[in-house]
Parts: sequence; structure tokens; C-alpha cells
Amino acid sequence: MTCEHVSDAGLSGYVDSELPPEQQRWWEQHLAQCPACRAELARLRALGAALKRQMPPREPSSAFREDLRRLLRAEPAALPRRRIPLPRWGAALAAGLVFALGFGLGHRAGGAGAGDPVVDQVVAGHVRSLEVDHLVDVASSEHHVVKPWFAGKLDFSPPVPDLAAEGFPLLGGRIDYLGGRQVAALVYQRGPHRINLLLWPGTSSLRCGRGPTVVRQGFNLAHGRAAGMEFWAVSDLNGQELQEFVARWQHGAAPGEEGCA
Amino acid sequence: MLPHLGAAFTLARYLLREQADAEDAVQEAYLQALRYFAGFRGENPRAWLLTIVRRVCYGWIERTRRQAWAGPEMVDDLPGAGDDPETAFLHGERQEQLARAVDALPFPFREVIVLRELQELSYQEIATVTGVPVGTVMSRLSRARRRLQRVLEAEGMEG
Repeated sequence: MTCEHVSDAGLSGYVDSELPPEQQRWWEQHLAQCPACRAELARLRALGAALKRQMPPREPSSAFREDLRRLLRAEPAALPRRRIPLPRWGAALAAGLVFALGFGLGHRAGGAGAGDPVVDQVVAGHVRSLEVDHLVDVASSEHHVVKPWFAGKLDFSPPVPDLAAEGFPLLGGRIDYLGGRQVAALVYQRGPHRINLLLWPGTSSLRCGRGPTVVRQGFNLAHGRAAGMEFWAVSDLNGQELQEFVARWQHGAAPGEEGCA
Repeated sequence: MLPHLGAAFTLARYLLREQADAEDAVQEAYLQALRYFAGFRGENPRAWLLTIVRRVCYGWIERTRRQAWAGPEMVDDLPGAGDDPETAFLHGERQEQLARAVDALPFPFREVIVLRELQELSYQEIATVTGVPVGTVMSRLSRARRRLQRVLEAEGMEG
């Protein structure tokens, strides 16, 4: 007994649960009454199992692993040197590359950061946080509340300096994404202006520092490093006050660190 | 420290068949990943990395092919299609039958099998990695599976 649907590509899609629900249902009903397609389904499953058995994941030699690691480290956009748990590596690569981009920014003449997709992402994150009423996941002006909130949600613990006395009260924090990795977002306020500060771990050897103000879509942005963290600050605050905010944040995050004091 | 390396290497190894070629391709892919990270906007670094690995492997095969034959080629004539079971057997005598059959598949079929059956990517991810529509992914996967089943049956491995 045979069936015209036996060679249907849809059966492959059904095995993989990749069909739209109504097609998935159609196959369920068809299979219930078609022995030929049921047999084909069993063969497809057996094939999948046999493939996994006979074609195990392959590993490069450990010598190659070492060479690759050394090579990537020697590249201008070096990977972070800090030890990173394996599954987080994609994020770590992202952070390393974001670092490289951010670093290059300060050296660019004229339209600083023009065409830099990370800048676009930072701005998009800022706009999104204001638009969709998703400014903070933890609303608190207490840094003692905000800092522990991040624990367990991120693989790092961001510094959360209290800048209320300097005129930048904390509104709260949330998790955001930048370049494919999770970053901590701290939200501060200055009068009617909101400031988003997105941060993630940089390399431990990083020195404190900050780049010039970058203007994008009417927002001001500043990139910097402090306490082993990379960050971007973005706001509709004027450039001068944003730089003041960044300087105070760095000082609060890494008191006494050279370049931050 | 280099996660996704396993996935990247497995893909390269099964696409290029040789350990040394796969290592070269993976190295090139990681360097490209580092350089082109600016263009990455998604939230799926693994799929993004596999896209680069796949592109490097494809370029590799294209170059080798051009050196060997020089001339345009249809999908079913890509390297591997011409390998009869004997050639495939000599190619990897320690491999089992099914793995050899995958080796002998044309590139577009081989890659969907590796990405789906071994690496369990979704059709959408495979479409991204291989640069074809989701519908094409499904039909290639279906055709590739039927080819492999024929091999299995011919060799009496399965009912």
C-alpha cells in the first residue's frame, strides 16, 4: 500500500515540528489513517537517530584551540582576558568587539561614531525604554536595592553609585541587550531628562576613561570605562551635563581609580 | 573560553570532510567574526557564527572546485555528488556507512542535514545560515533524507 504523501516534504517538516499548526494537525489526522506515511515517519525518525549516532560532534585538536586563542588575542579587537563561563562566550565575544568599536570611536575625527551600529543600538535601546514604558524593571532610588536585584540575572555585578547628592537621582535598573549580550541598564534622572547607562564587563586591565560626546538622532551619548566595566550613557540631556554625569558616575563607581577620580 | 567552537568545528568538519581543512576554515571564520562584528544586530550569536563558518566553507569548496574543473556548476554537481560509494569508502574507510553517505551528498543537502540533524537548528536559523527561504530548507531536508534512506536500504542497514 502506498500514498502520494509519502514523499511530501511536509512530512519532514512534521517530524521536525516546523509546520504551521493547521498543517501539523493535518498530518496528525492523515498519519492516523495512513500506514504508508506512518512507516515513512518511523523511517525518518530512525534516520535522525542513526545520524546522531554515527556523526558525533567533532572537536578540533587542543593545539588548534590554543593557536586560535592566541591568534584572536593578537588581533586588534582582542577578546576579553577575564575568564568567562563557556555558554556566555558569544556574549563575551560581543563585549570584546563592542569594546573595540567603542575604543575606536574616540580616535575618529569629525562625526564621531557616525555609522557605528553600536551607537544606533544604544540609541534604540534608550528610545525603546522611554516609549514602551519599560524604563526600569526594578524601580528604586536606593542603590542598595538596585544592585542586588541584578544578582542572579546577570553574570556580573554592576556598580550602582548613588548620585542623588550630585543631582542625578537613581530611578532604577533593568536588563537590556547590546550587541547580542545582556547588559545592565541603570536609569538616572536630571530634571525632566532620563539617562540610560548601559554597562557590561570589560577586560580587567582596562583603565578609567571616557570618549567625547557623540550626537545621534538628537540624543547625546558618551562611552567610557570604569571599575572594569564598559559603558555607554545616552540621554537627551545636553552634552556638557552628560559628560558631568559620566565623570561623577565613574568617580562613584571606581573611587580612587586613576582616571576616574 | 571559545564556546560555539564545538558547533563551528562540527559544521566545518562535516562540510569540508577533512580535519585540517576544517581547522583552517574555522580559524578564518573566527577572524572574520571578530572583524565584522559591527554588522551583527541579532541576538543569536551561534547562528551568526555558523553563518560565517558556512560561508567560509562554501568559498573553500568553490575555490577548490574551480582549481579542479574550472567552470560553472549546478547544485547537484557540487563536490560530493560525483563520489560513488567506492570513492566515498576510500575517502573515509573508518567512517560508518551513513556518515559516508552524508559525505557523498551535494553541498546544499549536506549542510541542511548537518545543521538540522546534528546541530538541531530551527528551519528559520538554517534559512539564515544558508541564505535560502524556509520553504527551500524544508524541501532540501526532505530530499536529503530520502537520499540517505535509499543508501541505508541499499546497504541493508534498515528495514
